[in-house]
Amino acid sequence: MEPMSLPGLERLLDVCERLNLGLKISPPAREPLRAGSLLEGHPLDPLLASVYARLGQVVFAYKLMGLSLMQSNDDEHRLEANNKLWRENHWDELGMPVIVFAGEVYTYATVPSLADEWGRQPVVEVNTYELDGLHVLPVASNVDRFFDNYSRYLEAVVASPRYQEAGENDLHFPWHMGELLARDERLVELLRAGRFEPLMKNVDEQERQWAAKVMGARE
Amino acid sequence: MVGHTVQVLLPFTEGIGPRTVRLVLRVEHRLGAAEARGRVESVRVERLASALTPEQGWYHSMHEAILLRWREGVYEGSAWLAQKGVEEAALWFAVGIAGKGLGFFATKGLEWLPRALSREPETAAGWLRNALKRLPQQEQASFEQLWSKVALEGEQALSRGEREALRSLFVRLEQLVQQPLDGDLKRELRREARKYYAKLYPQFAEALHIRNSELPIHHRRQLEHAHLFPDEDINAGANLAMVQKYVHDKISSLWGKFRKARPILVPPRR
Repeated sequence: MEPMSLPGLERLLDVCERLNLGLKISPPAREPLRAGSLLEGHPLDPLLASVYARLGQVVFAYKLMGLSLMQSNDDEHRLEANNKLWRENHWDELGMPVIVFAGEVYTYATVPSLADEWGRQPVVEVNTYELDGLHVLPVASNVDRFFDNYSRYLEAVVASPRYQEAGENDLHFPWHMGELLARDERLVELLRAGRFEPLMKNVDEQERQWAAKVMGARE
Repeated sequence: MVGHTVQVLLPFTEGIGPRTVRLVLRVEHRLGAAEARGRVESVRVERLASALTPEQGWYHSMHEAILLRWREGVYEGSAWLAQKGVEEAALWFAVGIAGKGLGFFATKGLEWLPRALSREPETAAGWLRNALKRLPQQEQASFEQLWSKVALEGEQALSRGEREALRSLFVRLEQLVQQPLDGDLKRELRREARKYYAKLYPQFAEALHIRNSELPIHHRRQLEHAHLFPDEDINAGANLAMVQKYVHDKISSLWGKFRKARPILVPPRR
């Protein structure tokens, strides 16, 4: 399968460079993971395979404590090791498999069972810190859209008054980017159809209201 | 000569109270020359006669050191403060509040704030920086603006309305630190905890960036219980530990069991 094009990833790389937010990149494996190859028994998202064909590991916007893609190349197999841990520790509670691939404070994962006709899986955020269980929020309809969203988040951070005055970031992804996520039609479609409901068992009232706003529901 | 003297003295007028500034000028006039030449050899602020606490002394020294570095221009106090960044600003505020004495706010019956702010400067600043995050952005900005005015121009510079507004903000802070943290704040504090940990332990900074969520920063006293200890800085270095994710998951799971077994109580009134 030809690698899929990644305009969202390109945009994110460009934003990090243009706004001087920092980028750390490691080269890909000589034989990178292919689309459809199995990670803990589930197919790797084709967009993610395209990413790993290009890059072995990235830290985006490290000057802001940014987003990092889990390493998978000839030096380290953290992507594979982390997914093994997640299968052992979290899949039961989640009720379905997820494939983790990136993280900020919380972790980002694709959901194999919600893939579209091209095999592209939506992305969710999983918060493993809370004492009442895993908190999951939907974030993007596919991996490349996720990168595109994140690039726009970074632009919003840099344009914010707080950052302009004092170099401080008081915006969070995806928490403060609800309106941006609401423009992702397929994401909204999946949300409205209740496809994320089984994953969102532990969301609190504040998170539920946030999701409602993304869906465009009345409060 | 007068004009030049004024230029030199201008930076010292940044509202830190009446000051005696000792200026040593060297002036030369050669016979037959149309003009005299002169320069400022040195400038020094005379120390106040009254005794200062170590914190007040530190605060004044820092203030003067910053002003001395800025001989070329005079900054508006709030613009200067904004440029210092949140951390230094918090340090500046915390010591300033302690320096001015909390008698200013005592009549409102504040309990947790005086306790938190009476600690040594770095600890008090950490507490204040994180406590201020509890306020909505606009109220944070109001607090900074009002407190900057007190610190730079003196308490007497506040109008009655401003004084009341500042008191209300302190009361509001006192209430907020006793409320459980919401998801938004927990996210913010977790991010701040990572930044702070990377600063405390620079040898781990790279790993923390590269591995991010794989290497959580664990709060020994959980964020869920922070409101039970309102005068303590939940993000203090002593409360943070970097752990492998599987360790963090096990600890969280134990806390989860504790939580189910015991309801969370509000702190008893002392």
